[in-house]
Amino acid sequence: MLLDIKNLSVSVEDKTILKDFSLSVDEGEIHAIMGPNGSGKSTLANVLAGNETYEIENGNIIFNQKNFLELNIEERSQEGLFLAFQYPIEIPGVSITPFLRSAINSKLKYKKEKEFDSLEFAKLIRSKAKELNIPNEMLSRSLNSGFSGGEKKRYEILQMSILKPKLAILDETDSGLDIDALKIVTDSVNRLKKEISSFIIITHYERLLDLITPDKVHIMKNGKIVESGTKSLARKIEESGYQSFE
Amino acid sequence: MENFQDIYLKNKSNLLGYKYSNIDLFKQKLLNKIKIDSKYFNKDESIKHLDKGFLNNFIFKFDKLKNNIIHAENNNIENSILNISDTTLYELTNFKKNKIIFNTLYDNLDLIDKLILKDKKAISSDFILNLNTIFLNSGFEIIIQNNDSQLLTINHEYSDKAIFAKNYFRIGKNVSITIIENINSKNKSYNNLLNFFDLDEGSNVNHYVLHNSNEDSLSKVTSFINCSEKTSFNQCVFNISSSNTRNHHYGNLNGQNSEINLRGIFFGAREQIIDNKTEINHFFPNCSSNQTYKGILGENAKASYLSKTYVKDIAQKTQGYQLSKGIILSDKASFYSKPELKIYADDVKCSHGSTISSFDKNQIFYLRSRGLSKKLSKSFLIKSFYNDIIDSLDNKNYVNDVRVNADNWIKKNLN
Amino acid sequence: MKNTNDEAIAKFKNSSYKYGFITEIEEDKPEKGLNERTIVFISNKKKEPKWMLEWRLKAFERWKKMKEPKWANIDFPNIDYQNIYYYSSPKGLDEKPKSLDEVDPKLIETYNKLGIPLEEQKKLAGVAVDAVFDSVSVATTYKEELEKKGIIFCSISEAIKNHPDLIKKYLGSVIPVGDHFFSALNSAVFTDGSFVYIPENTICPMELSTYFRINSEETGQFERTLIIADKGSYVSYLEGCTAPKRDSNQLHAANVELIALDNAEIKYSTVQNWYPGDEKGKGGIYNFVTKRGLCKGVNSKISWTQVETGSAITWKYPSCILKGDNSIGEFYSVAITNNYQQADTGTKMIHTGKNTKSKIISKGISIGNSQNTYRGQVKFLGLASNSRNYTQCDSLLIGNKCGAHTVPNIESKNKTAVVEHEASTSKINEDQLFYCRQRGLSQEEAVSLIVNGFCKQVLQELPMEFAVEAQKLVSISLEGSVG
Repeated sequence: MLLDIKNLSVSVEDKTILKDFSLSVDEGEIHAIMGPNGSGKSTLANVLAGNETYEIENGNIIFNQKNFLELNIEERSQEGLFLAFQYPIEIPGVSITPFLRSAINSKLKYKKEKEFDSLEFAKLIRSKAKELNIPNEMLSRSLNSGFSGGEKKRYEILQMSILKPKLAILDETDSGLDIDALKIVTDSVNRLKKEISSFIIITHYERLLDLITPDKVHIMKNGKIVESGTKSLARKIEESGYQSFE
Repeated sequence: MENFQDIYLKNKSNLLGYKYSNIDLFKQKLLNKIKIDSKYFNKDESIKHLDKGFLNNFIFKFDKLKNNIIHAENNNIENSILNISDTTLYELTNFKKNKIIFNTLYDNLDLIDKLILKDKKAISSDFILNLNTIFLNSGFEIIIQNNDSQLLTINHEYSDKAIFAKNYFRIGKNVSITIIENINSKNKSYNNLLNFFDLDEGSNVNHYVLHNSNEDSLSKVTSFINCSEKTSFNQCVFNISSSNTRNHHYGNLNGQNSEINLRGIFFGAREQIIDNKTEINHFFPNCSSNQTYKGILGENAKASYLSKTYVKDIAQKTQGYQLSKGIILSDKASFYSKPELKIYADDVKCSHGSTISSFDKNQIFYLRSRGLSKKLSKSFLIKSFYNDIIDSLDNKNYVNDVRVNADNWIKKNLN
Repeated sequence: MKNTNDEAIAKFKNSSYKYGFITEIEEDKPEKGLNERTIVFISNKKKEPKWMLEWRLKAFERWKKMKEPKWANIDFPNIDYQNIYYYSSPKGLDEKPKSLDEVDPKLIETYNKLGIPLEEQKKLAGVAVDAVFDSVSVATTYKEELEKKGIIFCSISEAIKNHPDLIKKYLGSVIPVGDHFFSALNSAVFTDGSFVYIPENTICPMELSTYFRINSEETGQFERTLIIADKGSYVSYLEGCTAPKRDSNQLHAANVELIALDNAEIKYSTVQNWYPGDEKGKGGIYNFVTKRGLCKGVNSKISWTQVETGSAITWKYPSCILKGDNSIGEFYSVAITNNYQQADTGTKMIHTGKNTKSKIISKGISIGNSQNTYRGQVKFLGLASNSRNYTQCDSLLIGNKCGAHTVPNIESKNKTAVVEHEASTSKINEDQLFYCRQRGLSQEEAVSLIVNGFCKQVLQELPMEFAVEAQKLVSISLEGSVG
């Protein structure tokens, strides 16, 4: 098992958001999590990535046989977790290429593998950018600043394809994308399926799941998974909303 | 310390202009004006943010005046170099080849007179600049009338003397030049440098300063910039000194379609006191200005940045921008900022922004979630903090010096 | 397009100050000038206890050694403090009238003309009013209703007699007697103003309001107001001010102190419309005001809102000392200067407690030959961890004979504090003006609409009853704007 979350309760500013939450993801699986606004989906993503604003009240997270709660943000990333942010943070003045090279080298160093020099890395990032239809000139721009919503999302996917995580969490990566951009994103997810073993896809829309076929679909409400099933569950939501799940 | 009157009388013969009774009289008047009591300090804006300790602990060492100018030509390089060491030695490279006129103030009554009276009103209201006039013992004029020289590097190497200099730069019509000043003070040296820049029509000056002085020296640099029509003056002051420093820079837009940009990056740690000030006066229409200073402060460092944009009633279509940003790394560091606007014309776009904070938590989280360590994330954020200033510079060597020095500082002071 | 818009702005007629009438009434005044006798006279008139007189005399001793502050961006001839009457009351008002029947009908008529009816049947719904005429409080409405809830709302003179413990404890606790020249002067000679005490866990059921009227010639008005919100209470307070048109300048030097204890909130709004002087700059009130609020308790909040359109000179900086952890300070200001008016106004936010937050929104509009300055201070002390400030100050210039200035002082001594400051200065947007007029708005309407939009963030903070009035006032203040 790659990820095993057991009885996780999480609060922020004394408000409990995740209640006794459990979920397991096996290697090679794609899980989709759907649910209404405020059900705790983004909290789950942030907690897995180690965001320190959230308080873990109870429960366990085991990732790749490691107790995740004992690892800090960057160690979790180096262990192979990637979060594609719902709202990628703008960092003016930091250009993507040196940033991403530092990121991958941190990971390689952690695994005691050979790091990239700047020339090798430039080649790598250009080839990956090409797959995602990102023009070269964009690679010298600052991280996410002044980007359109769609550009930011594509940048997240670019980072994912370079960092090659074991588990990628896509937090509403599909929202704000037009159909062409969505196609580019899903194509690369499907391509990466072979290299990246597992995905957790957080989404509002079934349309994404037409393009990436999930192994499991979970419905989240009030900080808990209220129902799990296959892709047909997503269709049910599209037709009748979340009201029927209690 | 002894009072200034005594120091003056004792060292008079080591100062410029002492032979001329009218200059002596003028200096005596100034000496009567400046009083060093604590009451005066707390009220005087010009020294409010300064370390006052130097007045008590500092011993000014003056040298006998000489006039040593050495000319050299170096055919391997295009640009001109001026090396200044302590009071008296000027080594000039390629000045003749590049047709740069160079004169020192030594025995040059007309020039001394001119520079003492230049921008008199602004100078006489500033304690430190009054000291500059009283103890004037160094200085030169540089006149650049042609475009043969693209780059002039000035290296100040001061070891243990007190330097009070007035340096005058006259930039001729349509001349474009980059002037880089490296200020390295060592030991117990004290330097108080006052630069004047007069830009003739159509000229274009980049003035890049790098302060890199050691702990027990003191450095104070002031500029008065006068721009005529269609000129552009771009300054960047990069301050990586370990000592207390003062940087005050004033720009006057005296003709239409001109711009002055005064930018600065400063780093502070230990007990450093860093005093920055910029002021731009828009006297004519259709000009633009930018004043941007950014500082990173650790340990017990204290910094201030006062900026001001003045727009005269006839200076319509003015665009004036000010930005002041501070990152505070420790609980004992502090930053004071006062961005002022004084505007008398209506068709203007003027604004200022100021932020003081530590690191943005969301940005740190984002970077760490990509696998960067906390320290590396912070170092990325510090670099991104001043990158816009570095991007505005167009001299590779200077940019490289800035980057290398900044990286070293970050490595040393970030934990 | 530019020309037509200039004409548009130029078409404004000269403004008329609506409240410039004089009430002919017999006055009771001491001799002119300021000395110990004047202070004893005031204290006697108010039938004050001895400790109060001593307090005043102490302040006077301090004041004699002080000098007028000179740092503000205002210019005015020297004030002759010996050529002012320090007290004036309508004859026969030595004792505050028990009921309106005892009040001179001329006074009631005056307040009617100002739109503040005091009579039982006409009084404003939901607003309790304390009416101060020159140096005395004439009437306070809804007093009994408020008393039922334990709320004290009366003139400060009455409070000194009836609630000495509260006065002794709090008067001068936020603005110390010798704080500066004008506050010391006020402490020595203050005449009337309001006192408010909201008991624990009480939400004041209506707006409390004081209406200040200067009537008498060559008389200074020295208002003193003290508001205490005890634990868990809430109050919204509003002051209004007007004065007759006179050729000579008159002095108004007020001290206002607010104290908010644990979990309490005070909302203080001002619509300042003192006589601004005529279009040539003759006459008008010199308004030197010290307003300071102390967020003493945890989770307390003080919010200042001001609409400053009157006075020849405005010098005021309503401030907050954020001492209690998690306390909040706010300052919302619109300052409009026209003709030869000068305003130097802003705020101070001093963060000393943890998790304290402050917000400053300032809008300055300069017209004619006026000078308008925002001056502010934001300071984070070492203990103010995780505190925040956000400041936005925008200036609008109409015409090129006026000035707009911004002088913020920002200081942080805490690495976890975050301070953000933004400011801008510009002229009225020609495209917006063109757009409005293309849609059929008259020139005046268009300017007024745009300026009101510019001020909206502040005006919407006013209690509802007064927001509409304030909008009208903004429009009136713009009249005769640019020629």
